[in-house]
Amino acid sequence: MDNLATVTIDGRVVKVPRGMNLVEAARLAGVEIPVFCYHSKLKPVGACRMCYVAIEKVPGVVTACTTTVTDGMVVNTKDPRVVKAQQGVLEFLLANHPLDCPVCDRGGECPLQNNTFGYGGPVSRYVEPKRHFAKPIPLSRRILLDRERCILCYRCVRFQKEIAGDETLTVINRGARVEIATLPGREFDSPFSGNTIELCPVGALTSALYRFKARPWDIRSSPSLCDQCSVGCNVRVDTRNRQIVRLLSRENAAVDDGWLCDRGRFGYEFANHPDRLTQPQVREGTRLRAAEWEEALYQAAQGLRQVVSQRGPGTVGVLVSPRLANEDLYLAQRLARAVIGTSNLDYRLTPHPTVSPLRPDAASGSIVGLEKARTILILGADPLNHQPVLDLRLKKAASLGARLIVVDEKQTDLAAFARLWLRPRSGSLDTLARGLVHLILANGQVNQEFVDRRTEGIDALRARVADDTPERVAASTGVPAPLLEQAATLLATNGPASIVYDRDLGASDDGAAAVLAATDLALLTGNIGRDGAGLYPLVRAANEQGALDLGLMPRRPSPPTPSPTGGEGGHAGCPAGGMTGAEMLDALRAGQLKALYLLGVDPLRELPDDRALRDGLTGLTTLIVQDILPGPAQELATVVLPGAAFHEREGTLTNLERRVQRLWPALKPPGKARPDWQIIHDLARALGTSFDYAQASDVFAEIASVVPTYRGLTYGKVGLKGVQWPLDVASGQEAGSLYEDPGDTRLAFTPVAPSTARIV
Amino acid sequence: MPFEPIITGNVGVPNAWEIDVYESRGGYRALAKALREHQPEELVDLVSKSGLRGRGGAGFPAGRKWSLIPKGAPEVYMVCNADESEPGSFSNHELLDWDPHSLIEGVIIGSYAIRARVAFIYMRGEFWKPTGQRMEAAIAQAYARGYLGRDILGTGYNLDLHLFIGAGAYVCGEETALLESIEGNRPMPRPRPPYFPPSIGLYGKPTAVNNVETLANVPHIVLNGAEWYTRLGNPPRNPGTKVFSLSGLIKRPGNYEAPLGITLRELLFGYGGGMLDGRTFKAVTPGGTSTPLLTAEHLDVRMDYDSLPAVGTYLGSTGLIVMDDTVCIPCAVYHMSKFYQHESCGKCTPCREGTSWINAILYRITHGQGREEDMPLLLDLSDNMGGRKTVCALGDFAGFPVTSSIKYFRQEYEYHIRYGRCPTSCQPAEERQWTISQP
Repeated sequence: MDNLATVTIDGRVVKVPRGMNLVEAARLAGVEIPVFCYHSKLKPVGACRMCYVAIEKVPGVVTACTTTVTDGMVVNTKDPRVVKAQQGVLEFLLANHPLDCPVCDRGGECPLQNNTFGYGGPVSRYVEPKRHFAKPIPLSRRILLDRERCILCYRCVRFQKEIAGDETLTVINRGARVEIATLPGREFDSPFSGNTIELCPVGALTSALYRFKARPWDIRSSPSLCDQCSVGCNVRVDTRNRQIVRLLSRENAAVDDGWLCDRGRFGYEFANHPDRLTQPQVREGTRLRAAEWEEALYQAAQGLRQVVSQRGPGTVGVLVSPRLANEDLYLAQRLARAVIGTSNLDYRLTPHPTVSPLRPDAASGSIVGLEKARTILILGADPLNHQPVLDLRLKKAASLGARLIVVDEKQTDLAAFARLWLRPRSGSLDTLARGLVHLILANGQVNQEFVDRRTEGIDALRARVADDTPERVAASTGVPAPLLEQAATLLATNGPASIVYDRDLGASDDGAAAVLAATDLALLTGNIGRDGAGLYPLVRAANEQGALDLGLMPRRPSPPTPSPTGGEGGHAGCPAGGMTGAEMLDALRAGQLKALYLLGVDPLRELPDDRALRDGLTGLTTLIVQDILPGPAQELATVVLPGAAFHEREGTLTNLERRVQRLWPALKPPGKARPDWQIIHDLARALGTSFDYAQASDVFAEIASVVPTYRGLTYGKVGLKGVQWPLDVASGQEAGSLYEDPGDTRLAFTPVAPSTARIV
Repeated sequence: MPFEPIITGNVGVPNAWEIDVYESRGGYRALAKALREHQPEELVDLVSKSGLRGRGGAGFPAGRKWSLIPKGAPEVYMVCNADESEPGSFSNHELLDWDPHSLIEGVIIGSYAIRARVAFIYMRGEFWKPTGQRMEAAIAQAYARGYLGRDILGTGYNLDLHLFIGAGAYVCGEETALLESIEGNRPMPRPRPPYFPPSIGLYGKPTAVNNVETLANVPHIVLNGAEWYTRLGNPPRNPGTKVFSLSGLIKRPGNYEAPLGITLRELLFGYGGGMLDGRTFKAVTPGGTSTPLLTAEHLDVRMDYDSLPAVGTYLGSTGLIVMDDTVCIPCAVYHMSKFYQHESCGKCTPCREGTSWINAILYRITHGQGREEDMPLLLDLSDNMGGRKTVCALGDFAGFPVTSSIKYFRQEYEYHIRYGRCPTSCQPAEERQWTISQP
């Protein structure tokens, strides 16, 4: 049976999916139906009454947003009754609207202005004074409400209820006295509150940061990415007078679904900060003085050379920020390994977590794939705090029917949306996870076909969890056995199921074992390698996945150094071993490191106050600090190199679902600051290498040529929406899920006890 | 023909709200008959055949409403709309006051007919004392006697009945807003489609929403048969009786149960005792203020669901507010407009804004500041908010008194506009208070 309905809209015949509403159908037909309250991401409510249409054989006018298409429907959007009713609605809306467009943030990009221009009548016939309210009133320190401008479309209230799920906004009073309000005694404290500013079809909700800073016609807009967390939401950077004035969502359905969290939306002020580093500095006695790049790079190179020649490359360390772009990270590891000759290289300052033995070390599925899941196990992850916009995606999955199982001692935000919330006692996450493995094995809920065809090692697994009976697990975790049974049954029988956990979970002993058990659960139930079924170790930092992909850590496979002839030159001169970030800090405290290159990292800022660490940094012969803002470590630096912020440069970031996405320069870096990859390149040249990258895309081209998972990627291919690695070599298509193809290699159940499974 | 009241038979009987008194007068016999002798579908058929139409105002056939509930739906709700809030209507209130058990009996039979296992009585908040308290006590008594709860009368049928007290909003009388209210949400009507209660009602489940009077009729139909009912009132399309609420400037205001199809004249001058001495009839709201006015030329119109639309108005909730020759119609309509601007829920733009502008314009007209262009403006404004342009009918309701009064009493508006005062001795209403300025 045909799933399409044929509709005629203003004489244009279109075939649209059944069940689609008329606003969307008209869009497909190229006909605009004006709306205020309707939004494609929110449930239609038919409140503003702007989207009237006339339908043949239906009396009067009806609202398009609440009318779904039926086959043969004939719709007229220009019927005289429609025109009159729409003029009436606009007259009603404007009668109480202050018409303060010249001082309104929305002026110039305002749906009320646009619809009035397109559909409104010529004059207002009312002589009464307008409704007045005190204004604006702060709903929170970020958002102000102008109740006179508000046209009560309820988009903001509906967003908070339907999408954010927190109901932080409500409606009070009745009739013309209706107001949008927060709950009594509460402020608008949703972590997603900023989206309502963008949803507001008038200037009723305004941003405290953006208010009166600019008009839509005197800002420049550039595409960019939010670099606050690993989701990698797509943003539009609006700049004026060489400052960011606001960030807006640049909807990418695969990544952010059109939403931003407040941390991302409002967290750009660092980039405008007056203290931004604009000039290289070198140490002269007890103080730093401004220097030109040539001098600073020379000093940095000299310092490194001196330490390498006197104390050996093993006393040099390189620490990078996982917020830096792939181009920066790739050149940093090349500098460390091939130029300086050290493997003391890391992107994190804390011990590395135990991770799933599956390779590559990345989420197997996609963010959008979670919407296909019927069951999602959220194991010790708190996306609201670490990957906020993913939290919205999980809530969306739940609203689409997925059953969430939250396993966390804390009451995370998602617990309220969960079918099951298991609260294991602190330190017993591993027992609980093994208990689920045990139950699935014991209840015969194993996906035997998948296990036989794709995996190995199930017998060892069976033996290892033999003792984790529900009774014992219940006793040691405090989670009642029936809840465990329900969770195991959901996971095993209500597929596809996905498992989401915090990748850092593996840093604790019980978390490490839980992470391994999570892999076992996915394999036992065959929930890997297709949409909705995946294993998602959630990384936290904006380019943490890139750092993993490019080997920004010791004792892990690293990208081979390209040889001058174009082939892969291997790891000549790169010492084995090497220290992790945490080990480097220990060495620093013990006075064993002599030179340190900090790229966007400041251990004194990121770690608790530590006298020994400060002494260690003070005792360094060479401390090169590359950053965009001043920090405590810079006071001890021998050379300070000013980098560029995310919106001042080209580059790519890889998000938590392996999506490589591009940064674009919206502004020039301030003063003499340079993009990080360029500084590394310049430093490498000062050290006498033949690094020769004219632009960021040259670095990326080399990444694509030497890093197998990035093969086939180019800036052009990444484009505006990003690409998930790996690309299929033959077709050039991205694969949504890893482990799709059975291939020859079998996926192994965790082979050994967790204590020896630690990778690093 | 002597007329035997059907549903108001217990009104005025001492302690009629006590279950013993109710039972002694034949109460709960219909329930026993319904549950023991009928399959649910037979009851739906019975009520369909009786021709009983919804007494809430729309007159939708009650049996057909029940038959729209999908067969075999696992979760179904019965909701009794006891949110009587229409200005001029107080018939449900009296029934609830005196005879809560007849409603409970009707609710149980109706619930059984649609196979609901949970039912609600949504009662207007202002009714709490003593009506709500009596209902609460009556429900407890019915539980105690085994008419509610598990295994009712040993038939294996289970039903829980909850009394839900509203918080005082006219719009909750609109069935979808009422359901939102029960769900704990702000009562704003839901768009239909898709939210037709018989398919997507309370908590998204099929739900029958019936008026108090509709359900109070059901036990009598069960006892006496559909055939009996179809002979009452104005058959075939308007069988049965209706409780009419007479108020305003009339000799004997009060509730009167009368056959449907009774003439307006008999109702006002027979039951109501006619106008006050020396006054003449001028206008009446046939179904509360939410229906267009009738005037002296309509005195012989029959009061039922089909005769009134023929003269451009509706039976509504049969709240007849009588106005005589001392009443200034624009001032009366101004008072009505205050109600609508206060009660508009604020969801739909035309109603939210339109009700307050109508009120503001009528204020000007009745306070000596009317303009020639105000009357066409009022008519156009009412057209922009009426004609089903809003989710619920409140937008239409608010315009009805305005448009009908301009139609019949244009000269009074013109007098106000021209001379700045009332054509009668009516005093202008108090200061308008709708504009607000608050922190």
